Amino acid sequence: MRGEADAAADDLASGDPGRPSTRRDRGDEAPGSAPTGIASAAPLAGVVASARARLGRLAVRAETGRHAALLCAAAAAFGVARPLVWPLRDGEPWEALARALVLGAAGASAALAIVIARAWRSRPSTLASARRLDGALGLAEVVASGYAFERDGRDDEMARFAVERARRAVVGVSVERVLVSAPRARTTAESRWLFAAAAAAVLGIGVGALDRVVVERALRPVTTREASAAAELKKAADEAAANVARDDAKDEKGADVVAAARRASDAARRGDRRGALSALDDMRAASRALEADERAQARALRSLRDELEGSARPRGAGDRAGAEGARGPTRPSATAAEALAGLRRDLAAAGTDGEAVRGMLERLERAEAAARAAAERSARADGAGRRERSGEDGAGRRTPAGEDGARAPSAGAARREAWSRVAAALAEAREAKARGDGDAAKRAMERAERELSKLEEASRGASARDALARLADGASELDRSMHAALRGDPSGGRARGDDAGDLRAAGAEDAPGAGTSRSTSKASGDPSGAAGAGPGGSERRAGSEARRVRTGGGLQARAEVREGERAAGVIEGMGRGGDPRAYRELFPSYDTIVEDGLREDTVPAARRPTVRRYFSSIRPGDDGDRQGP
Amino acid sequence: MTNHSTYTNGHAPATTNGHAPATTNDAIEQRMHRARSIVVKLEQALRTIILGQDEILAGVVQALVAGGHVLLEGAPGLGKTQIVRTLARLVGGSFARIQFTPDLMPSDVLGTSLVVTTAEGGKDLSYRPGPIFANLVLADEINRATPKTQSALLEAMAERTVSVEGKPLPLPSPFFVLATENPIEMEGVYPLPEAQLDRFLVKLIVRMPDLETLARIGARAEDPAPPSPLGSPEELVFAQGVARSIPAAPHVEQYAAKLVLATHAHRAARYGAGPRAMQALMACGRARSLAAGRAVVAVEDVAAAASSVLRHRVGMRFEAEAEGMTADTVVAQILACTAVG
Repeated sequence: MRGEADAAADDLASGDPGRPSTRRDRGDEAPGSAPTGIASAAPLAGVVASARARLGRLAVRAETGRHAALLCAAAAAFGVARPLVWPLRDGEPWEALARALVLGAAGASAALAIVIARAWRSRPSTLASARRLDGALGLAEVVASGYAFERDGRDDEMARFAVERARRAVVGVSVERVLVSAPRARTTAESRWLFAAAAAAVLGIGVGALDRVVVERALRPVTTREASAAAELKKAADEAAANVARDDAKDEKGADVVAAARRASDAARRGDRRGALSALDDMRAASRALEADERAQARALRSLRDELEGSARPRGAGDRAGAEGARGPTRPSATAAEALAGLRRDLAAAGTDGEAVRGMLERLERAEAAARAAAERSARADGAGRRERSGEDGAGRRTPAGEDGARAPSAGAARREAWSRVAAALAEAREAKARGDGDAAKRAMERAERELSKLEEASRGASARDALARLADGASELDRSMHAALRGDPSGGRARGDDAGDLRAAGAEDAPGAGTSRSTSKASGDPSGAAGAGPGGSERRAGSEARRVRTGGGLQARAEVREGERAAGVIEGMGRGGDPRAYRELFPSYDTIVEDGLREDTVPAARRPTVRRYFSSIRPGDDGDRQGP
Repeated sequence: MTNHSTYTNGHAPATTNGHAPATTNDAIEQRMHRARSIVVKLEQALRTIILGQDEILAGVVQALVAGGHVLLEGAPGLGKTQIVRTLARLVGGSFARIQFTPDLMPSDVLGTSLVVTTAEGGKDLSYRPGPIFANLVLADEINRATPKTQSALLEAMAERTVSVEGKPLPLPSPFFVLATENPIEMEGVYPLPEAQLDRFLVKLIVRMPDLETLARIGARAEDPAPPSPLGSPEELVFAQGVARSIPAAPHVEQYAAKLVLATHAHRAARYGAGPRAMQALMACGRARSLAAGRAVVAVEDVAAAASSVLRHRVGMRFEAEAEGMTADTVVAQILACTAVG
């Protein structure tokens, strides 16, 4: 390009009238060069392009200054919209200000981008830029006309003369110095608008920085007890999470409990009491679901054990299980696996006693049916749980949030498969024995025993249960501390609860205020009236306490109150029209405690069925009408 | 940044020095310089005689250089006739004055054929040229003549020829008609038809001089001495040729075209200017750029000439006239709202 320009300049400067003035005139135009009669290189085009770019920048600067109020207004609007656009949720309170600032900056940036884009698009055309350059240089259309002639390739003598004049005019010209922004003073109205917009921006960001949590925290700061309870809950949640992971149960419900506890702890630590209470509600719901699963599993295992022992069916006249082996063992088994082992031994010992074998085969068949029923229940429960976790709505549509939950193998599925394997093994044992293949029947029963042992082990899950119990206690403490903080009691009602506990420990059964967290909270104006979260959701003390519990009928019994004050309150309340729902929530914890107690041989084997029947009789029904003793 | 935005051609500017041979550009430069000096001298000489009418003088000289005719409108005694008389002296050509009256016949303008006795004693028709055969013609109070006589000027002004007995006779070059009309005395006048108005390159309004100018005029004890001729009419023709060669960029031509078209779209205009107005705009722009010493026509040149070129080519609506609008108002509004490029 430079060579073309030099050639054109030489041609123009030669002054030879007979000489072609350009390469095009001479007929030796370079291939690919611009078909202009003046020069392939276009010096004026370069300076005009630079002038246009310069004018574009000046326009951007001017427009930005002119629309400063608009930028501030955009920042204000975006800052104010922070709670809607970017709610705080689980964030720290200071993040509200940061987010408002970020949104305000984003709004101002967006407005700035629009202003810049519009200013840049409305920058002068090349011709207008050339005219502006003329104006800045004090010329009248010299550069613009020269540029136009150069662009159009005008080849007449006067046009070349004009182009040459224009080129001379821009030699040594710095567009940065020539084209400067005109000084512009803001009018009073503009200044007022700008000031108002700036104030609005500050106000908007300030309003955007105000979050419910921030306000609540300012009005009622997080108490020491709340912070302590939140930390404890967090610790308990971590322990529970570790237990859940160690058990390798992949129990979604347990994970839900842990997750809800963590959310509650985080929210309480931030000062988001509403969020913490909501998380605690979620945690209670997850705990109830978890307990329902455990209860169903324990019931299924008991049912299977009873069928194996032959004690589930009433001995009627039609029951021909008169033989000792057919009626069941003389000493009831503690677990289904033990019952199956006993049956296996009895089956081996029965030898060729057809009547006894037939009776035992019938028990096997019933046990198999019970196992299949348990498998079906697990399948139903698993399906419902998966639908709930996968986020399917009522119409069966799946929400994206539930994809992981729908894909992940659940504990319910594993349980269903285990029950199916038990049923298959029992069926195989029964068929093998019917064929007279004792060894195959023995192997199948041993396989079933192993499966049952695993199921019972998983059902017991003592360590996980303890962790979840500690989680519930922590949640209860957090719940009380937050309600106490809401009431303005920095002690969180601990002194009152401690006093009551002391009184109860001293045997003062009638001591006022020795109620559960539910009754206590109601009596003291607890707005939620919520009970402690989870089983026995109450304050848990180190070690168990021996307390005298008074039932509704005046019967007094000394009991191990493992589940805290709430358990005592529920049992006390049953006699005077207590809440049956609380009883239903509480009972599953007793169910497992009973099984644990029976397993520890502290209860004579002969009394164990009695104890089981007792607790079966006081088991709350599904319809909610049946209550305790 | 400065490196990119400071421009050098990379070669020596094509300027001349004392030793360099004359180049094409130098020749152009010299031609333009000479033409401009003619125009400037003419205008300056006029200003020494006619006081307080600088714009009119500039317009008249530019119309002269552009090769067009001028219609001067103004009250009596403002120096219209003096302008033309002085201009004729300065240019050095022939000058004729025609006082238009209602009884003026076309033959009084164009000339007539007389029966003459030949040397052999026979009779023959001999054409005696009228006053139109002059370099500068002053058609004084042109609107007082009948349309028939006014139309006699049509061919002469447009074609620069006069048809006598079916034969065209060329008028001298340069040929310049400067007509005057009195806007005050409207009794017994014949307004010029649009077709004839369009023949005038510009219409200039001669206004009353201001107080200071009047004082200067009054200070003159006697009329100034008649100026000596600045040159020959051929010099004026040369300047006209140089002016015609001055190019205009496309955006300037488009601007002029926009102005012309805008006269049709204006709500106050009954009719607008025609293509001849476009030619007139560009011709005036070239003459003005020559007077300013520029080698190209600028938008400002066109805009400056727009008022005098368009005002007599725009027909006003009665409603607009009733509102007090004039053609100058229309042109001013058009200039204000017409963008370049």
